Amino acid sequence: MKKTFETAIDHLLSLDKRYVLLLADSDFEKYESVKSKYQHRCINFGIAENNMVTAAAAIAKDGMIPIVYTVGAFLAYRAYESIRDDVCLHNLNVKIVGMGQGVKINNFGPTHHSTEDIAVLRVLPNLTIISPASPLEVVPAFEAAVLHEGPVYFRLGKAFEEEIYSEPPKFQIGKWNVLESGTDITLISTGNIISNVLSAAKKLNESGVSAEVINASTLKPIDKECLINSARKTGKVVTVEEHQVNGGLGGAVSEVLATSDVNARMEMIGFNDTFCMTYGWHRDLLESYGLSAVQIFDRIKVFMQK
Amino acid sequence: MLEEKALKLRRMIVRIASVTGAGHITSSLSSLDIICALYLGGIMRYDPKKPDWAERDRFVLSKGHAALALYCVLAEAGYFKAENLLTFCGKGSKYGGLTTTGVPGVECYSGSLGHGLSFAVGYALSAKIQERDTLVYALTGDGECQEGSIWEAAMSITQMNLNNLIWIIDKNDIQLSGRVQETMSLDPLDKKLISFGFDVATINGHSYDEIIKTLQLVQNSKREKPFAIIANTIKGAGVPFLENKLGWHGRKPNQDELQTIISDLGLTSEEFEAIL
Repeated sequence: MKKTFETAIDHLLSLDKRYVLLLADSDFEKYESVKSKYQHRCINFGIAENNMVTAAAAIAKDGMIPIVYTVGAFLAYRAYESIRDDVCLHNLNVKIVGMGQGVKINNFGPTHHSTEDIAVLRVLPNLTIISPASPLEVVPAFEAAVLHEGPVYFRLGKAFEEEIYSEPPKFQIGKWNVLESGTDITLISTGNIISNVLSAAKKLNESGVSAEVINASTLKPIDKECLINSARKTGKVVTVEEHQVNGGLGGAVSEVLATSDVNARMEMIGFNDTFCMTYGWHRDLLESYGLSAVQIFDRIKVFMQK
Repeated sequence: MLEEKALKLRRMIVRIASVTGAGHITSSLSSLDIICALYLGGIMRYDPKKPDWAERDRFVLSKGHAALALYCVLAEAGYFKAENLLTFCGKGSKYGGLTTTGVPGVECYSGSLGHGLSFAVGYALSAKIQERDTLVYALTGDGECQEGSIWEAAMSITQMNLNNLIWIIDKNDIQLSGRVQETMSLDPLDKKLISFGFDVATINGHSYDEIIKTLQLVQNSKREKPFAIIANTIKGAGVPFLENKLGWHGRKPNQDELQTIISDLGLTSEEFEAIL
């Protein structure tokens, strides 16, 4: 996703002089090339995320469209007050791109994991949160983000994400995509872990369970209509996320269901009040916390038998 | 002339605070002369009828608790009627106790300290990108400079050579819980700023002669480096009863104290009540 995003940024900066890229000593491979082409519209703030995000707010207030980009954990946690007070409170047109969905930055440990970013950011008024599922969704989702007038947090992956689409999907902020239709259970996921959910759904279908799979690529605003329609149909909802279930996608979905007239049982799969304390390949980390495709399948089977 | 206006505004600050029971009187009195010089001393380019005019100079009050000083100066500059300030901190009012963008002329919300200088960095960068010759003035407190983000901003100002940004530090040496130098000293502040790459002037923040001359010098110079001004100020300036006293950060005076303050401002009670 990162490579796709970098190419998209390069193109975006060529389209309109209002776009400005702000970096914080970020891992941006095209930096030299983009800097040489756009010079003062590509600014490196050094390792100083607070300053970068607050400055971005003023740049947006002055009519430009800043895109800040660095590791998502550093933006969501370190620069939280700048995002809250300077971007969201002013409702300014800043695009905050956090790289490293979930535990995608696998070998650097919990300090670099975006396992709480959705929870802490989705409570902020005015903020839209977008979380693309795979590289082909990055461009249409990012186009929607930059065309949206207002603050956006864009939860980007990193590399080697499994592609789930055969062509770029249509993307509309606040609208979820039903990837697989089903009648027995609703599986909702966000980000690239949805590829594991699709594998689990395939196994479920092979075992006679008709699973509906929904890509929740907008986390705020939540697509209540899609959620409620599916939950009403199946009566069983499972959320799967590379994030804490408390306050994350699971929390968001349960808030909607709890206040609706739908009678549906629910299960939340993700990190459950724990940091991800292991290292290895990305898939090793997921497996250590029960988030491989097989483990997700097993959890769903148990849930269905309850 | 400016001294007379400042006296009028000092009286207004105390009057609004006493009527509404809100506001940081001593912080506002500390910053007033600097803000007054910027807006009413012919330093800043602005049009009160067009608060969003792109060619305006920007003033960022980072120490948002001095909001009453800024609001009173903005009213005097013609942004809105002074009478509006009688709603200060009241239900439904847009005139909040810390600066809010709903007030014409206010560039950003302030309150949580250490943000405004970075906001000014963004304005200065944007002006450079858009090749505008507007200037950006940022006023921070001295206690506020204990925030780490101030020094992130300071590094970026010099690294990016934002010589269109003028950083003024209202140095009154008092913060909420005590003296700045005893809480977490900044001194030697001038040497710190010079080592960060600023040209630095240290002035009396209540002398219009010094404030105006310094700001004019900055405006008219080639400004090869970003400029920082250390304005030595007195918390509660202009009211001897409050000047340089601990324990008055955000405190409301009782009736006896208010009478002393009114007297210090050279007014009778009747004259004070007739201000607004």
